[in-house]
Amino acid sequence: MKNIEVYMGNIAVTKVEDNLVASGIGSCLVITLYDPKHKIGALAHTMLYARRLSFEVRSSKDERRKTNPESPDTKYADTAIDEMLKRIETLGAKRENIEAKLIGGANMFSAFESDFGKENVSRAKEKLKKEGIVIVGECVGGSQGRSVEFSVTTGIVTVKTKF
Amino acid sequence: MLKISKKNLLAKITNEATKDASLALLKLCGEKITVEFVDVEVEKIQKALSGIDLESMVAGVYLPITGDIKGASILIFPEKIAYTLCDLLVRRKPGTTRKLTELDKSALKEVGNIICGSLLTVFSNHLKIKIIENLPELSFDMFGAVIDQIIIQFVQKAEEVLLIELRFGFEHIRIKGHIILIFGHEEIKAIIEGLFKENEIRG
Repeated sequence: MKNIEVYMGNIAVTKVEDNLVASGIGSCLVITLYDPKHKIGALAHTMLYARRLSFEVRSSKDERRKTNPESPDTKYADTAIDEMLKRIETLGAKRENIEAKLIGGANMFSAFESDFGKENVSRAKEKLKKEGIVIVGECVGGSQGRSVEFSVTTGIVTVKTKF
Repeated sequence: MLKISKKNLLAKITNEATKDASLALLKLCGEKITVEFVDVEVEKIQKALSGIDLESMVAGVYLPITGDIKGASILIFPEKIAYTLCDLLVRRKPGTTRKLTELDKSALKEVGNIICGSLLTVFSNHLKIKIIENLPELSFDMFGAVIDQIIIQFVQKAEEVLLIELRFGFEHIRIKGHIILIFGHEEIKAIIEGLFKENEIRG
C-alpha cells in the first residue's frame, strides 16, 4: 500500500489498496468519491468552484489544454467532479453506489473580500446533487487547516488538524 | 527564471532592505536579530512553494498592497522562529513560548510589517511609485493551509511570484524564512524592469 499525494489542482483515481492524501488544506476543497461495493475511489484537491470565475487564468496547463481541449481543468470543483466520475466509472464504479465526502473550505484570512472556501463548498454540493451523488460526510469551514488521508481499501477518510 | 544580472540587482536591493529591517527589529526587541538575504527568484506560484513541507507549522503574515501597484506580500516564519520572536518581543524566558496568545500574534504582525515594509519602501524609493501596505493579518497553521487561500486569490491574476528567501539569525540559531511577493504578471515584469533601468541610469 502506498500514499499518493494529490497536490493543489489535481485529482487521483485508484482501485488498488492505496491511500490518497492531500496535505495542508485551507480554503481549498477536497472532494472524495467512493464506490464501497467495488472499492474504487477518487480524490480531487480543488481550488475554485467553476471555470467561468477565472477566465483570466493562463497557466502552462491551460496552454496545453488549448492544444488538447479534451484535457479537463481539475483545479475547478465542477470539472474535477465530472472528470472523477468519468474515470471511476471507467474503472467499474456504478453511479448509484458512489458516495462523496467534502473536506476543507476554511477561511484562513478574514481580510479577503471573497470567502472562496464557503463558495467552494456550496457550489460543490450543488454539483454533486445535480449528478445524483450522496454526500455521506463533511468536515468543512472554520479557520483551521486540515490534512486528509483517504483509504481506498476501507473508504475511511481521516482528517487531521494541528490544533 | 531570472537572469543573473537581474537576480544580482534584486539581491542588492533586498540586502539594503534587510539591513533596515534588522535595525528596526533591534529597536523593537532590544536584542540583535539579523535578517539576511539568501536567494531571490521569480517562479510559478506552485513551483516556488514546492520545496516547503505542506504540513509544517508556520506563521504567515499577510499584507495586502495597494497604491500604484496592487498585490500582496506574505512573510512566512517557521514555527520555531515565530516562538523565538515571541520570547523576545513579549519578554519571556527563551524557549518558553509554546502557544500564540493574542499579544504574540500582534507582535508577529508587527515584525511582518517591519520586514515586508522595509522591502516595499526600498522598492518604492527605487521605482518612485506609491506602495501602500494595508493592515496585516496572521494565520498560524500548516504551511499549505496558510498559503492556499492566497494562491487562490491571486492565481486568477498572477501566475508568477517574487520569492525571497531570508535567514533569521538569533543569538544561537539561524533559521530560514520566506517573503513571497505576489503581483500580476505584468506588474512583476514592470517592477524588475523598472529597478533594472533605474540602476543602469544610476550607473
